[in-house]
Amino acid sequence: MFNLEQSIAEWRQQMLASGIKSPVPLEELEIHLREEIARQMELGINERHAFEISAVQIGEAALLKNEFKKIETVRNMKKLIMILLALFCMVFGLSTLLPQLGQWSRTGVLRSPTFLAMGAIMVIMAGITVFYGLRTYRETRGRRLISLAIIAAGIFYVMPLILEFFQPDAHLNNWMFVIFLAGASVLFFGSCFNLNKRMPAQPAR
Amino acid sequence: MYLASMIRKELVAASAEPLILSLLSKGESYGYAIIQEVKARSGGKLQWTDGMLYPVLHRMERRGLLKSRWGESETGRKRKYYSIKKDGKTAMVKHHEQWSLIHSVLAGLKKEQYV
Repeated sequence: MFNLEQSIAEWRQQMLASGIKSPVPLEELEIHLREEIARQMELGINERHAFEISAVQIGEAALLKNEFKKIETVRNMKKLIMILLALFCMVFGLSTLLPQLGQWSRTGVLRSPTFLAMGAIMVIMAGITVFYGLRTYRETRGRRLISLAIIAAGIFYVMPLILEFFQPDAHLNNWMFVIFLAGASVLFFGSCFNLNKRMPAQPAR
Repeated sequence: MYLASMIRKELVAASAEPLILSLLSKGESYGYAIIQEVKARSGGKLQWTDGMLYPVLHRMERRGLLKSRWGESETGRKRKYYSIKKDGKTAMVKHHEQWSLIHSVLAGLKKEQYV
């Protein structure tokens, strides 16, 4: 005995197995399949044939998956560039902050608070972008490049602490700042590194 | 004959975007209705593999030509409705210009054959 719901569930499984995992395309395809089955049945075709005709008309799973994948690949490439650019902005932002902070610490004069604030905002915004990008990046490719960029950026943030050891007249405030910076860096970039390693194992949403 | 009456797949693929934009410029619609309307307007000669419409719609949405929303039909059936955006309208005008140009060139050449 033909069971329409079971056949649709099996068709859905075939689509999932072929790689159409994103819920939106699969849901849309299923809605389309059901509409076509209903139309065929209105024409007097029985349930089994209506399902078979509709499934053929909707197309092969592998073919559809390739088309959807083209869109995903472009989107993920943009995301990869965004993550790498945000990591660069984190490094660039800090490189504008450190000389000013150093001068402020030595002379007690803050020459450009606006510039300092802009650098800080750039670092924070870039940090949020990196985190968001990693959470939504769905490709396995490019992960190694991201890991290397995270390590490089992390080292850059720990460097002031290492350099502080070679300062003959290191002040307590400086020590506190560089220790805080290194600690925050280990926490942030460590989380990013871990997230980058963990995310590819999760199914695409 | 199949080949004489059906439109070649390359031409079907090339015409998908202008057709979708033109249909949606009349008002929002959903995948199934778009396919049915294209089939009806072409007398069944313009046949898409039904499922292939959705990657095209998604790509156009990603490019900012369309927007979508989930809704329900009068019978309570869930549907994803697409509508045209401002950039979509601009793209549609460009498509119309290009297809009109191709049409006028072809029409001119055809006319010359009978002179």
